[in-house]
Amino acid sequence: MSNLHKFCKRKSWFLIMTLTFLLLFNCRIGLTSNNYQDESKASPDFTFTCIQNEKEFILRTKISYWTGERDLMVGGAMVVFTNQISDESRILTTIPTDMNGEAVFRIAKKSDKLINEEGNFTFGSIFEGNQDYESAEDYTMLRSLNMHMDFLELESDKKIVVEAYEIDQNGDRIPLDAMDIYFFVPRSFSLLPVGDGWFENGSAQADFPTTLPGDSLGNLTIIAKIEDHELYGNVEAVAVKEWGLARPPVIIQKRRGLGDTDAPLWMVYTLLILLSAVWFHYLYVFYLMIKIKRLRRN
Amino acid sequence: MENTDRTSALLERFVPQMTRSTRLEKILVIVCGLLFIWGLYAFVLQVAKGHSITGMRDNVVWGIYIVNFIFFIGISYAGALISGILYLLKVEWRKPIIRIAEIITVISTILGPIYILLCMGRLDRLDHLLIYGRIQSPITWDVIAITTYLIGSMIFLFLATVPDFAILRDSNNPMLGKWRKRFYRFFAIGYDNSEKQRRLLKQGTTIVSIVIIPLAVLVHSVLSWIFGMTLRPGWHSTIFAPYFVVAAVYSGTGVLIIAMWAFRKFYHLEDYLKEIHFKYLGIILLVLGALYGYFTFSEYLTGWYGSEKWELHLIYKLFDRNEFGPMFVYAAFIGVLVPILIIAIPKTRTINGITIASAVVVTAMWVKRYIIIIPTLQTPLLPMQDSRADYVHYSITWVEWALTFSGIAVFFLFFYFSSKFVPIIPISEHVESDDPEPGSSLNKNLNNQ
Repeated sequence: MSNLHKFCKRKSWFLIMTLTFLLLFNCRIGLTSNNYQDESKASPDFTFTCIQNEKEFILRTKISYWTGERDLMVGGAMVVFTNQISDESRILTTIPTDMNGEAVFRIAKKSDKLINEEGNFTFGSIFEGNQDYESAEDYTMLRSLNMHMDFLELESDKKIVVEAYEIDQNGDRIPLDAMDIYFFVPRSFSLLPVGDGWFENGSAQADFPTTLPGDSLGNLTIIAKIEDHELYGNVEAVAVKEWGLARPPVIIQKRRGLGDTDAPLWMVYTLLILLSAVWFHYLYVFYLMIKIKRLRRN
Repeated sequence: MENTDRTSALLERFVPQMTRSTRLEKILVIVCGLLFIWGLYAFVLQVAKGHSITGMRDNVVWGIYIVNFIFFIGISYAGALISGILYLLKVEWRKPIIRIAEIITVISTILGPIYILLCMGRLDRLDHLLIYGRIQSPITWDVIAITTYLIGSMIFLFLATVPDFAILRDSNNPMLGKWRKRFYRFFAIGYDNSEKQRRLLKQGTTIVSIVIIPLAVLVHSVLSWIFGMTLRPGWHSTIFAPYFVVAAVYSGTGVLIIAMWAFRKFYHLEDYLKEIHFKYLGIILLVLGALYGYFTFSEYLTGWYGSEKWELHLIYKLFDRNEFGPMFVYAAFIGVLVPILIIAIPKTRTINGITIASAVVVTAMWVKRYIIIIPTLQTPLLPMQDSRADYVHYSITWVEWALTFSGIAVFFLFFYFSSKFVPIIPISEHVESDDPEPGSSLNKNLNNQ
């Protein structure tokens, strides 16, 4: 009994070991075959985003590659933008990425051909790879949202009121609810956050600061943004309003600058003095040559 | 001008070389002529079809035409600085080499600006440069400076050649035909080596040699300011002017040594262009190489250490072996270290060794100009509107190569025909020299050292 037990024990160990080995070996084969990659090609960082505003969808793809030291923007990579309806996928356009690794495509919302039966828009971005980089692709599905801004002035207070709603297939409005909205004003180098609000029954509002400098007429560009909504994705609305402090145009009285039609006087004088000095010597040498010639005649 | 026995002996030596052509010379002239015709065809095609047949596009608006322009203006320094300074310092060993140096100056100053015209579109609007040129623009400064420099160089060459014209005018050598005599009579401006004429000629030459040295420095400084006055990475540098000047003298000395080697070899001028001339110029080349290396190190170290975004972007391109890495290594390392080593080691400091070092210098300086211009233009501060590969990356087309080789061929042809009108070794300098045998006193000096 004890021998049989020992044998069974030994045999079960043997079986376990064999199975483990086979499993590991199999997994290894599976891993190598499933995850086979061309090692000569790099795997790029691929980002696909879709922003909608009142009129259009803006599809943006960015391709970059982390070298270990810096982000290398992949320029000239051909990006195919697609649209899916049911099982059918069709190519919208093919655009090469620019020097910043970006390919941007804008398409009007009103086209009925882009929407499927459920009222969804499905866009794709495909990079088929090239001699240096592996292929990559990403898809996004979203619904159309109408969003517009109104501006209220109550004495010295200024308020932005935003309305956002979806129009369903029967033509009824479905208001946006329980969502954040952020407001920005573009400055020289980035977007300046100026306020935020919360959607309730399709409407959100926020106070607007009254001390922002605008252009010479006091105009400010105001951007409202909804970010990463589960149905509508990124939504933007842009409007220009005279809510900034008017900055009078700077009149530069100084003339004779490098950008002017007249050169700075010091430059004119320097050039004249230098040229006169050189050409005086040249003329003097010509005079010496004439003197040499006259000496022969004499 | 009375021709002494010594003058007659020198004429006997040089007149056959001026009036006859060997088979090799004829072949060289035909090859250069064919290259010139090829370039002419490319030029006609470029005018007819526009610049789209070159590699230049919206972003890389300057290609090898501008590289060649800077290169030729650079080698013009051979005459201006080498012969100008050596003349003022009354250096005795300069005598056999000054004519070659001065001819290099004039030819390259004529050829260089032609590449600007090739680079410009709409040559029919060339007059606009003068009518609408703005004094604030470094390009206007460049036009003024180069024109003034060219005239100065031509006067300098002419004044130095007047005594030789007079000797040839008064020569009884039958090989000099009538038309040549008329030519020499006109250009000798009545010079007969009288005391007063000699004094006036010397006065004129001294004045021009003094004027031409700062002018040459100014020309290359202005050339560098075309780049330096912009805010582009790799160009906006305070040391660009002296850097350009040093690189120009470096390449100019290199071309001078190569030209000396060629004339010595083909015209058998071993008695005049001696090893000592090569060694002295080799030492000048070594010093300039060290100076150029110092400027290069300083320029790139400052850019790299500052880590300004676009500057760093450009430097990575220069260091990248898949982009400009090999060119950078050649221009910044091989072009500096190899010539210095060849000249520093006594065993390799021979005529051939110094000439090889010069060839490395000249080619490295051409490549250097290429990596100054192209990588910067391929690194714009604003995004490119069209990112097709041929818009982003500049590649030289056959039209540009044809016009480049054509320019080099014209340089040779100019040089060749110049040597047919004036002796390549100044006869008058050797007649006046106390040295009975050309270069013998130099050899004595060397032996004493």
